[in-house]
Amino acid sequence: MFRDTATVRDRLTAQQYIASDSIATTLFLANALEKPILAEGPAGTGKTELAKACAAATGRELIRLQCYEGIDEARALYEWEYAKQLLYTQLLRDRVGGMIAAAPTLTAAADAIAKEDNVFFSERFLLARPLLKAITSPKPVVLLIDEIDRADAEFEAFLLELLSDFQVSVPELGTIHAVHRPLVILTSNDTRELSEALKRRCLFLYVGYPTAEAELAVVNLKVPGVPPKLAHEVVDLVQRLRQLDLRKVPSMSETIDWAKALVELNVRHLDRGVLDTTLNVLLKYESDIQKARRQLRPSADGGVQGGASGFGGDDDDDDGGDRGRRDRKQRRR
Amino acid sequence: MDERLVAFIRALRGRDVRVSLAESIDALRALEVAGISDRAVVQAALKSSLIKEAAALSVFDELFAQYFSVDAPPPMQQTGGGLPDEAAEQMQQMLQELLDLLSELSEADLKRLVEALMGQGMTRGELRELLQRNDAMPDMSQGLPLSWAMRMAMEDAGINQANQLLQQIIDQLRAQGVDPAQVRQMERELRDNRGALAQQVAEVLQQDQGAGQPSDEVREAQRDELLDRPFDQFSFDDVPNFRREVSRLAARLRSQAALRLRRARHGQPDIRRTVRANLRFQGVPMQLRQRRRDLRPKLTVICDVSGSMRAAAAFMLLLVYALQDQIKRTRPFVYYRTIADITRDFQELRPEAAIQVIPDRIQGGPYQTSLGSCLTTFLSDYPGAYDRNTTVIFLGDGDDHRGIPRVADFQLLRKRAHKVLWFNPEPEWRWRREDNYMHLIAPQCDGVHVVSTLRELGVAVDQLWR
Repeated sequence: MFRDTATVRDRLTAQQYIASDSIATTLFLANALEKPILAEGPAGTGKTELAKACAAATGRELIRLQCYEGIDEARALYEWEYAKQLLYTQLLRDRVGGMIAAAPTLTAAADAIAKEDNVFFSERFLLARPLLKAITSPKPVVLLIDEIDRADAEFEAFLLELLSDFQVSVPELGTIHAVHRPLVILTSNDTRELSEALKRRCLFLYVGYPTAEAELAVVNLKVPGVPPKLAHEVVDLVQRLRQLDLRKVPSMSETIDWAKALVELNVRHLDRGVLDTTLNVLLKYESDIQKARRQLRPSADGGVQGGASGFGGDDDDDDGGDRGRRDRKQRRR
Repeated sequence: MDERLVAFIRALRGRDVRVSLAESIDALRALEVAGISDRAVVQAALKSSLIKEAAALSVFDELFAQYFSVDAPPPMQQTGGGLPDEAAEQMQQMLQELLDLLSELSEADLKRLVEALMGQGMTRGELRELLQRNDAMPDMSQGLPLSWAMRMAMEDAGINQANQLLQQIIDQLRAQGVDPAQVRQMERELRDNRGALAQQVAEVLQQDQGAGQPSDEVREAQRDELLDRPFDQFSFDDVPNFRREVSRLAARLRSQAALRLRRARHGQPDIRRTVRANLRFQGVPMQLRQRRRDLRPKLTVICDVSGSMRAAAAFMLLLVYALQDQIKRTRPFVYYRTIADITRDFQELRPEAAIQVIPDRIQGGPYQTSLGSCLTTFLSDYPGAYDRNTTVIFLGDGDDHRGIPRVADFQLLRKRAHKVLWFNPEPEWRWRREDNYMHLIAPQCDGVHVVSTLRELGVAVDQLWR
């Protein structure tokens, strides 16, 4: 599908996705070695976007499985469609009656029905969920298993069979092998440690916050009509915010949202007033917004600068508090 | 290339990055398809196939730079470049005389070092040969500190002589009245070059250090030794150092627990949920609903932290906290003369830091363990810590120096809690001594396990998910 990593990068760029060296190489390898990718990193850095771009770049359908706590095989793999089975038995009642009418004994009647029971356990009544859909699809697809860290460890164990051999067993039908091996992308926000076995089967890709250059390129690409100066200022400010000790630092997607908002508001360049009214697009906690306001002060020309002088003594207290809270949250996970 | 990759993987393992055989094979296949012409691609390919956790990425980058860098001489300063023409000419002349002299004395290596200090760098291969010829390669498998080994190697190779010879030239220049500022500049350049050379020596030695890591079998044997070392041979303060071993154990237990929990889903039918689900089929049970038990245990861990038990207690708590995602809730307590709830400590600190504050939470001197009164206090003060879903685990030797534990307390606890387990780090033959009440306690528990080593502790903890 891809000739080399440069092809991967070009095709992704055509889909408005700017891929770093490691992303392009990992994707290329995943395709060549037919191994799943495990993309890990903070939320909002474009892991899910990667799967979408990849599907678009290869012209494959994207099948998405969103994981959550308590997800099970019935939601992920398949389910028998009982209602339909029931409906069919009702509709076929006369036919079944006719079939067993000729049977002389009860045993013969039961045998006659038993001979036909695979009608009701056939693919006709099988409700395929994303995983089964992905491996039985007649065309190759991209399978996105999103936020695998939210699923229980037992679901992870269940995925192992699928990810290593690309086959699943349905007790009534036997083992179903993949028609085409899908390109699998798992994403994780690292809220809990995944099992070694799962990691071993995957290629690992860490997607962190982008560098200023990469972020600028993405903003220019994703936010049409953004003035070059504004794009610079936006990226610069976001990069600086990431250096602060915030409860939740702004992610790539929030940068894009913010830049879009600024373009909508017809802002030409950042100043204090703009910042005060739109910072809530970027930061999601009041305490973060307060802290950012304190530490970013307008410069002489009306622009906004981060000031070392902003790190006042009174900040230290709530810095500590925030850090404590965040640490506790981390540990609870 | 293969050889270098194998050495690289060994170095990664030496830095405690877990790389399995399957991953090494993947790495080789990855290089096969990705090609090795582009260094960035090679790096990314190896990274995605060998490294599986974000924490190990920095180690990878560091070692990759060492093992797959281009072997070119480092950029060095041309010493004496800033001298005025006349002085420069003089210096060149003196240097040439010196080099000729060294050639005559067949001191080729010393000559090469002088040239290096003057700004003609060596490749790493060249440097390695030079060090080996002068018997200046310290044996890195002995675990020498790198900075020390580097200094030794430099001295053995004769860097001091080379430096002295050049210093003589500088002294002569100074005597001839060359501007002192320019001479100082030249001295600075010499120092920088010496620094660059030292850095290169360090890189050469580091490669050996990586290659000289103990083999996998040796490491495995060391781990086995740790797993089987009795708890009383650890001191309480060592415990955080063995955290890695505990997390390895936890990783294994976690996978086992996860598989078991998965199987647990296919259990008994749940009548209530089945009826409710089938109302739409007029009550005909078309869809069977299984009982969905959350098999993750709720634990209350009560640890004896008298002197001899402290290390065992610390390991137990570390292990339990490493398994948090497989446990619904944990309430840790410690007892000695009194009992204390340390749940808060574990919420606010990392487990390895939290176990360090345990001694502050509790009082007691030698022979002051009072299990009986601690248990009574626990029952009356912490009723929330034992309910019908909670497994209560005691970890201790069963000593009580200030009274006799009440059997009725244990009976009450056993009635209220899901299970009462006792983990004892001491072997059974020691349970009969004075002041020990294991013979009273054991019949009141649902299970008693002897856990004198990490391995035994692992086996006992694993039982919680069965």
